[in-house]
Amino acid sequence: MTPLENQPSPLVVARRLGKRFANDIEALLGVDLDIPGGEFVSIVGPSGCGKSTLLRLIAGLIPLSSGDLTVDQLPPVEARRQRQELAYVFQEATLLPWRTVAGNVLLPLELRNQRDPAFVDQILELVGLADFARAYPSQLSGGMRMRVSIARALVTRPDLLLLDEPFGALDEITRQRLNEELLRLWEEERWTGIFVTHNVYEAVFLSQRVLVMSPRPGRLIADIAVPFAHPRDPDLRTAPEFNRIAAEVSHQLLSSHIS
Amino acid sequence: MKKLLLFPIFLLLLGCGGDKAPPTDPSLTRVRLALNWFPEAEHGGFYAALEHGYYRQNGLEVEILGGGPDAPVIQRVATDAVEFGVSNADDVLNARAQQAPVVALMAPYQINPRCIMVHAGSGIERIGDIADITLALSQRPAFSHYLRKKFPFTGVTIVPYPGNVTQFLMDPHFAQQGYLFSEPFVARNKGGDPRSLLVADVGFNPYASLLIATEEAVAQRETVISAMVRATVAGWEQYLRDPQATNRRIHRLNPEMSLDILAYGAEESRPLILDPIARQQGLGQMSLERWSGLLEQMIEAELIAPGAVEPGRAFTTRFLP
Amino acid sequence: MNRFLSLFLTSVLPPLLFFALLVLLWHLGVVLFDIKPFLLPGPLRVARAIADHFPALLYATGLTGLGALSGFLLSFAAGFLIALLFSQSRIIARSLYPYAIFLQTVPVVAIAPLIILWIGHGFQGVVAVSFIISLFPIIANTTSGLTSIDPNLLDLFAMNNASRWQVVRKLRIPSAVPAMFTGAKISSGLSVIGAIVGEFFAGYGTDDFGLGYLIILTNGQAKTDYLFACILFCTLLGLAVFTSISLLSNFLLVRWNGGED
Repeated sequence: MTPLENQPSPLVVARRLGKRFANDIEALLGVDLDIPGGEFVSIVGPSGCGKSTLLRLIAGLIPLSSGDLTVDQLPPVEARRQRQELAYVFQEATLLPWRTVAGNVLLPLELRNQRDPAFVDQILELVGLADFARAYPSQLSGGMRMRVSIARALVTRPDLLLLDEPFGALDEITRQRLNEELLRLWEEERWTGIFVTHNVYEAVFLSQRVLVMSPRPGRLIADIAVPFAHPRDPDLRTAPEFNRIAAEVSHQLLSSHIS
Repeated sequence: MKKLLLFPIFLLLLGCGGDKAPPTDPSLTRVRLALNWFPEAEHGGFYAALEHGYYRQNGLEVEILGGGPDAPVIQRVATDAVEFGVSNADDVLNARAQQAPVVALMAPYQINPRCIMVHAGSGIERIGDIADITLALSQRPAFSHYLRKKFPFTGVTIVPYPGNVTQFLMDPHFAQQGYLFSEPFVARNKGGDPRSLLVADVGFNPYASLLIATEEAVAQRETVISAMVRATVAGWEQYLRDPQATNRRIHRLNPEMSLDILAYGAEESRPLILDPIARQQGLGQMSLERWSGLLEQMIEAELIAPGAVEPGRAFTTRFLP
Repeated sequence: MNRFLSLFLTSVLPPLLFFALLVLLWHLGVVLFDIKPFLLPGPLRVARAIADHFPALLYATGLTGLGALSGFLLSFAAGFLIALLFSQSRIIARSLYPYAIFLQTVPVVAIAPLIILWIGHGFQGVVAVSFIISLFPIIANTTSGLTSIDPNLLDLFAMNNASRWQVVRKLRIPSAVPAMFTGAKISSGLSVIGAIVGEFFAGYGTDDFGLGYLIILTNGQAKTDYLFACILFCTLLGLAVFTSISLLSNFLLVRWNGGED
């Protein structure tokens, strides 16, 4: 499926979305959201604010409690099954240890009864792991494993890519490198991306919009545009405008915390 | 209410551990006798001597310790854990082949009660004629090896001895080893048609329920040994005269043995104990001829290496009255 | 060649040396304390018994080993299928698991005669007892392996709209392999015990015999040196079985455990 650009209506729409868990914990309350196709959006918020929950609701992994949520005008599970290609990148690489790197990337295709070893090699090339196709996950570093995870997400040519703090466990240098790689991948294919993180700089560097979430029960309290053009340079991180926007995001974060 | 509780407690105390008279006289020598199975009719004479006070009269305070499957009687006697034991002649010879210094002192059973139990309806009348059936034999005792060497047993499937008569009752083409007054009695009670074929009749006849002690004891504690043998012989004579009181005692110790089966056991034991030799020479006699003969049979059945045992040293009759 | 040498020096030599030390102490003990053979035969007597009865011991070990292997393979196959069933249906698991535990707790000498009564004497009886006694560890460990899955992996498969069968085939079963090997290691030892106990009750017929038969024979006939020889062969059989499974496990689990071997 080719990525859909210039959609007439937003891809992901949430209205007064709420989620309450079985133990009566209210994770989300009254979330309103519009994400057009082809956009890269970050969601930042304090720990426990429900941003992962929001992502999992969009992925159709858990059911919502109240309100509306649609992906391409369908409930997420239906959208996932019938129309859109949704892919999810977890906080841990979550690879199958008994498969090679290539085997892991091939898995989503296998589950669709497809096979495309050439394309797998291509994707691995894209994430810079072509030499490690026959290696096993236990032989890779944390950063490399996360790249495999991303490659696996991309192998189905997704329309919507959901990323849940994928670089949180990595050191700063690796994280920045992977940010740049992710950005490059997005600039190439322009799938819709929703990126959850608590790292403000990362959010601003990657996204066109940064959404700020309040503490639990979470709802969106700010929507900050990041108007820098693409392709973006790593040096952008030192630009004064960049830091101003990052400061504003931080401010929003902190103020929500206090109130 | 208290009386009701006291009675079972009293019985419990009576029945637990070994069986001994209440402790009294310090002038009595205390000895222990280890049985080779649960208390049964084959131990009647020993319990009779206890029940009727013969051990006491001869200066002994005897504690009889019940045994069970694989009871290590020989080991306990040989290591002086107990002073006396009950065993069979083939086990004594095996033990001596392994340099266990045990000696037989008296033999109540001149004829061994071991039998093969077949179905009366099978038409088999002799052990040698057994063919085309399933035969349950344990490979523990010597007699099974002797039989297998001696007879062709064509078409016979040998299976392990099951320890009960269930398969015998279920399968008309089934036969098994047994003791003359044990399995056939149970089988008949349950409606079966058992026929007992005595193993002694085909020539394999080890003395049974022997009283044994160590060589050292025989050499150095002659008074005690003599007293024990004397009292035990008297006990067996009593058991053959009137087993009732003794059987009641045995039943208390081993409730599995009903008074019926014990009475039957005592009755069936008479011809096995009071054979012509016993009538002539008295209870408990043993001969070198029989011990040597048994040893030969066991060597032939490849159970004992030639020259490993000197039969004359396995027993002594000098304490018999 | 180098690899075998280093393997020998590190894994085989130390236990062998320790065994030699034990044998020496055993011999000294028997000689110094003048222990009679009917109590504890010295190593020389046991060695002689082995030499005298070597063909019989070898044959018996082979037959018992065959029974144990058959019982083990059966319990592995059946245990795997049962565990699969348990992993797929919580109701069935909850209803039947207590009966699986029963297999673990019931003393085998109590149920072996019953099994023989139903299944029959001979090889099938031996395999049946071996099967029953070695079944539970497979069920327990495999069920655990099949159901203890990283929730993220389950989410991954959900994201890819995987069918239940795909999840079983591509996720649960491969994920359970290490646990299955743990169960197999335990079961393999139990299967040997089961075969021997099975032989106590099932026998083998007129002229066949396994280690169980020899143990009863030598014990009943007070042939302690021969008995010790039998026990030694039992131990070697158990060791052989366990070592094979361990080697197989180490070889196959490289990917799960990580790193080049």
